Amino acid sequence: MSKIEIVNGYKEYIKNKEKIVVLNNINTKFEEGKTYAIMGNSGSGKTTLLNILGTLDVLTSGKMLIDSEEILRLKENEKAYIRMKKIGFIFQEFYLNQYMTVQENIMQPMYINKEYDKTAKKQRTNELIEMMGLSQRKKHYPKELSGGEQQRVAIARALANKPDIILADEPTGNLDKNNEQKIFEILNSLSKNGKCVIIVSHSNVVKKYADIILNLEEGKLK
Amino acid sequence: MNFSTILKLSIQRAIKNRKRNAIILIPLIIIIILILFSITIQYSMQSYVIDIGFNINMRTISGINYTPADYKEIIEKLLFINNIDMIVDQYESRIVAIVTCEKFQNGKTDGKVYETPTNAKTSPEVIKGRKISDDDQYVIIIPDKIYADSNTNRTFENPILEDEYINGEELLGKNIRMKIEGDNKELYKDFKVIGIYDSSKYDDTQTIYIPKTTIKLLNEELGASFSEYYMNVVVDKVENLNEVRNKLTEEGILKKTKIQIDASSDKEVGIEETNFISTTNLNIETLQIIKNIAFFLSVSSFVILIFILVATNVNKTYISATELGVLKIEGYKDKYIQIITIFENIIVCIISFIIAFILYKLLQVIGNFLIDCIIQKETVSLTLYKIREQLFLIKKIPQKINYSIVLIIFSIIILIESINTFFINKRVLKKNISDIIKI
Ligand SMILES: Nc1ncnc2c1ncn2[C@@H]1O[C@H](COP(=O)(O)OP(=O)(O)OP(=O)(O)O)[C@@H](O)[C@H]1O
Ligand SMILES: [Mg+2]
Repeated sequence: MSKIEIVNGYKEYIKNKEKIVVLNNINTKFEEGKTYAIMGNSGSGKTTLLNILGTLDVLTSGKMLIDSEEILRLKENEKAYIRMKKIGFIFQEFYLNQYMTVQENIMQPMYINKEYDKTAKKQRTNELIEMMGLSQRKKHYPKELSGGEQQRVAIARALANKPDIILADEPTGNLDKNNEQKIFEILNSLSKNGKCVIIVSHSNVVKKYADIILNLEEGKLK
Repeated sequence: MNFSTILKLSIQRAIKNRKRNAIILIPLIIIIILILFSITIQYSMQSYVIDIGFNINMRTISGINYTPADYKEIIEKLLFINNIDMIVDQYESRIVAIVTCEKFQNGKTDGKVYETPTNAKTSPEVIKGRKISDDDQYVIIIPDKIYADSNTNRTFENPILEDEYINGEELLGKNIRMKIEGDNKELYKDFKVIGIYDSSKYDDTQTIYIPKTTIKLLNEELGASFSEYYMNVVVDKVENLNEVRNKLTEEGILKKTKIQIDASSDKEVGIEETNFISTTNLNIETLQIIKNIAFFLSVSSFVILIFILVATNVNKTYISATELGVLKIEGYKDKYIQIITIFENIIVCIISFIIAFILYKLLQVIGNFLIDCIIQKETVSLTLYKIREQLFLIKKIPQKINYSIVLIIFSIIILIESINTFFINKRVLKKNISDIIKI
């Protein structure tokens, strides 16, 4: 069964009475246990597609299903629940809370997860910190970390509530070659553990780690 | 999400992000201090005017002359004028003679006191005992402190020592015998002490209150002779003084307009030849003006405060829009984001209120200390003299603050801040998340 499915996905922006068609009749499925790389020229709509997949944006028309559930029909709160439970986001700009420590940043999504009690939260945080190799950096603030370290904190935060879907928008855009490889390795290993990983990237390095490479061109996925 | 988690996250946001919250904190502190001071000034002036307004001397209109022939007519006219608490004709008015207290328990003699005729309506507020009623005879209300020796020169440089006072409260319920001196006669009379008034409130340690009917009897017994016929009118409130005075003039009762100046009250002010009551009397309008300025100041600061709250909040919300977007991405419901940020702002308000209050108290202490320093300086230059005179007056006005108003203002601040945060957040949160994080 596919994790995410888009049926006849159509997205347009209207700016100054001018219509920009970004996604034009897209039909695609994403499955668990696989790493997808979405590539394409700048402005081709990769970010838009990823945002739609992550329920941060909505299709103009068409259907989007997560675990066979029609997303467009859901209320805001139900979408919030899906984001908490099923989706982890990673951005090029990290979007870490600058005034919170590594630990606090990672813990933040867990406060709304009823499955975690106090000790479980701590345990999960430590587990993620360990996993990302940030043990020495627990109490540090984001500005005290390197770009690669910050991105690993962001990945740990995305994984906090054990989502099945990981969406990464240019996760290595601000990183050097070394860190880039490290991040892709981590993301790839996640899909090996049964998650559905979707990476948007300009970098050709991603091809090495992706199971399926998709090209977004003129609103179509190829 | 339970309450303690929400509180924890709010506190974390409020305390950890000092830089962002300083935008709200600093202007809030400044403006709250301003408001606290203007409320203090306003409230102090108000209560001071009310307090000194209770003093019978402040409410007395004198200078009504009459002849025995038109006495009845004048009394009838006066009965039709509102806001009059007491009419005192010359037989009922203060005996010219000075009363000397004798046989005080602690051996002190020569407590020179001045008796003021009173009735049930004009009787001073008592801190112990009771007020004078209309059928009392030979009773007195005395101050809690009676100055024991009136001949000593009392100035600020020569302050009154504690043991120079006779404790009035010890005399409550007892009879004290007083020597009353007339022009050519002396009387010894026993009076029952029925009430004690707060001498600090009335700024008086030498005035005693006796029913005017008793004073009339004493005057008759002394055979006091009056060269002219005059009467005094006591108005119910200082505020009505001018109105009644105008009416009296209109009716032709009052020919000369003059406020009675009580020579007995020049003590404690310590300014050479400056009579306290005349000073305050002259300044009562100034006090009202200051009060009005303070009122205007507090209202306008409050308007500025609201403006600051709204402006900084808009600013702050847009600065932290990405953070709100991240919370949404993590799956926080709008409801929780609202509660957390509203709590955060309330905490910032509480912190600024506490800091402002501490600073306000500190500034007050420093201000009082500075005033004391200037007053106590022995050599005061001529130019400083006027300032010193004013400072004496300021010192006399107790610095009071109406805590219920402070509480109301605090609640309004919190209410505005919450409503404001809610609506700005709402505007941000209703956008697509992909747009929020780009703000
Ligand atoms: N909110 C918006 N309003 C109007 N147009 C938009 C909006 N967001 C994106 N677009 C347009 O949609 C198109 C696709 O944008 P998108 O950000 O998805 O591209 P992208 O493939 O991620 O590009 P890049 O590789 O540079 O990140 C662009 O032409 C962009 O101008
Ligand atoms: Mg993009």
